[in-house]
Amino acid sequence: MQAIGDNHGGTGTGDVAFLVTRKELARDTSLLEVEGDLDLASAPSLKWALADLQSADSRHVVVDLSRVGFIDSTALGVLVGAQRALDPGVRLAIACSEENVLRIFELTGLDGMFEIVPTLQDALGYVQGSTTAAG
Amino acid sequence: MPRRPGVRCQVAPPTSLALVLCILIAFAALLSPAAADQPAQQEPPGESPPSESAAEGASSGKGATHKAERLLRRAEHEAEKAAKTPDEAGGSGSPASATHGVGGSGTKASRQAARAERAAQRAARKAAGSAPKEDAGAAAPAAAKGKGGERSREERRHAHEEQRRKSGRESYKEKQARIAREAREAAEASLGSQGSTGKVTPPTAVAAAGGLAPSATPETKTAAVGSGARAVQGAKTVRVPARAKRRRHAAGAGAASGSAPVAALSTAGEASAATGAGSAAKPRRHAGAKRHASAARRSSPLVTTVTRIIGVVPTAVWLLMGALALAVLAFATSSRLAERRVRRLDRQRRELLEDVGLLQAALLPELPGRLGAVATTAAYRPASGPGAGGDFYDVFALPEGLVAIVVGDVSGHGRDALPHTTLLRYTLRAYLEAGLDPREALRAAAPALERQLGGSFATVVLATYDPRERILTYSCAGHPHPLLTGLDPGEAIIAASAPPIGAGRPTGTRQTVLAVPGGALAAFYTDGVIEARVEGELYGQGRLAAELERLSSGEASAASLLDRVAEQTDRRPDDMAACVIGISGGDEAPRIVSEQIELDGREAGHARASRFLAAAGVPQAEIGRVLSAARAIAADHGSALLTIEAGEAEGSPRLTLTHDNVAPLRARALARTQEVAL
Repeated sequence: MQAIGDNHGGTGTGDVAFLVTRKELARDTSLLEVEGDLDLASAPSLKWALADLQSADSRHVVVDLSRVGFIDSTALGVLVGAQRALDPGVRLAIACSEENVLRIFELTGLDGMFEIVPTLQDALGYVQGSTTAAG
Repeated sequence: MPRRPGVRCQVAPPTSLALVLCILIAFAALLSPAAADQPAQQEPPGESPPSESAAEGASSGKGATHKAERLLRRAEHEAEKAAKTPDEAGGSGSPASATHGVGGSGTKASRQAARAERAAQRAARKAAGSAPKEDAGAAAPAAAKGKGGERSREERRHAHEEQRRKSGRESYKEKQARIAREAREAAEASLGSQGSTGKVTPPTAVAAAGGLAPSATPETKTAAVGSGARAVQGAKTVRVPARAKRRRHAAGAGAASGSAPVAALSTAGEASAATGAGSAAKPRRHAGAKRHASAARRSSPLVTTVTRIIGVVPTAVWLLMGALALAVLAFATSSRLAERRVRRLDRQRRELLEDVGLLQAALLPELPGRLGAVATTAAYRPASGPGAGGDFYDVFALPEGLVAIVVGDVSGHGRDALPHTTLLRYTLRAYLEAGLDPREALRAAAPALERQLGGSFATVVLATYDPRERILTYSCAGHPHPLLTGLDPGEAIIAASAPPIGAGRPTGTRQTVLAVPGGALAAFYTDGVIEARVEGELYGQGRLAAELERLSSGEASAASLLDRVAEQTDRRPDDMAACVIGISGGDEAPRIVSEQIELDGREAGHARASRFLAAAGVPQAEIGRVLSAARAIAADHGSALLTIEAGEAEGSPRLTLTHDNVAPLRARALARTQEVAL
């Protein structure tokens, strides 16, 4: 795991500081570590971070939402957009074990749209093709 | 917000006052060097008159006087020559040469002497009165005559002079010369000290002092040393009458005696007397100018004081003041510009928000208040920020007395969200009015809407209430389930919820049917309501349900519900919209009658479906079997519709699996229409 410390900006959401950090998880996989609440104010940061990743090269993406306490519809829209813009053969996985966030995914019916797994290892396994959709 | 410009206006006057002050300071700073220079510039004309007055004195004589002067000068020159002759013979100690030595010691002194001579001539002419020509004419021959004749006398005087020198006493002329020198030195010294202030032009002052010196008494000298140029001038003015007398006397002697020695003497004497006279004539005028200047200065003490103060302030302080004034000016200007810009932006923002609000309000219909037996209220509170816009609702009557409810939220905000809001509201309304169930309407409308949303997505809840059956049917697409009083919000099965419209997945896959036997309030709302914050925490569905319960005993309106939410929350980052349906009746609590889920081949194999079945009360042993049956139907018909009906009594629910999908729905809708027609 190689941390390149590419900080895509810390946007204060008023309550919790927000941070998106890009790291290299594997040879062909990038990791976006998200920290803080994902809402109307912080969603653009995530959007640009994802856009940067996708425009750079065709790499798998793992979004780590383990340290996210809340995600609103705007941020969900960003993730939906990223998922739909994926090149063929490129996979996106979400690593999250936070109950609140998982519930929001379920409530909005988007849990069926993403590969949401509890750990980074599972996410890496999925994007690299060793595991299939298991939920 | 409207008060803001007012506050700025109140701030503005001090700013402009400071601006005016700064401009004044800047002006003072600009003017001060000029003010400081003024005395120095004014002084020279006052001090310079010596040369000016000398020139005037020279030119004041008209044609005849000039002739007389010339003659007189020639006579003097000849007399001088005559006096010099014995000097050359008798060595260097002659009084004439001594006088000359003093006079020629400095070019200034010699110039002074020449000027003094001229002035003396003028004075002589005036003293001579009516016939200057004759006087001059008489003087000239006398001087010429006395060239050789008076030599013995001159020699005698010379001898006498030498004797006196030998005895250690200085002659009168030597004494005069010494005094002159001393006075000049003193004047120079005092002027030197004054010159440091830069207000007096030293050469002129020195010349004036030098002119005065020969006839200056020790007292004058002291005065000159003590108080400088002005005191010297005063002394000069006082002395003028006495000297004028002496001048007249000298000229008269030169004119009357007609002898060479007298002429010589007068020449020698004139070196001092005439010098004194010349200088006296000069300073008089000079002093006059000075008096004018001092009078002008004395007339306004304020100006004097200010000038002095300005003169005292160092240049560095002036520069600093200037820089500060400029900085203040710059700051004032920039703040004023920024203020104007902020005001303009504020106005534009307000106008824009008003526009958005107007458009939003135009999109949000006014509800009739009551549709049959159902009380209908709706409310909308836009977020006080960039989140404004995107929420929508609609409540309308359907055939057979049914009431349709639509509440939704389009992703994106502001003007981008508005067209989508309209599109969704009217499209969904049309599908509902066509006679479709909420789920069927969503299922049919979603693909068409997704194409038009252009990447955006929308969460929505569609519901119909049948007052005759007391049945509430709703279907969500990525949207929060409605809340009903008397029904535990936890009873709603959120597993395997349908995704929003525009997410790229089939939606309209879930539907819930509720029986509302008694009176109840049903609240449909957007996520902005439950995502409002209470001290950083989400407001949540639990709090909202509790608030709805409280509301049922009082004024049951959507507006009052949102007001209560607004009171309890400190931050509302998104729009809030709510629809409250008031169903009158007894105390019987509503209950879930059935849950529906449409499963395609992928969904049927997903863990979501298993979780849904488990939540619906299907025994674990049954789940696998049900799902494999659903997969089989989906393989043949694209999807399988699973309906789980809760039994009247406690026990396992009744499950129905059909290959129901959009195509048969059309037929059913048609059938229903026929039914109505009959």
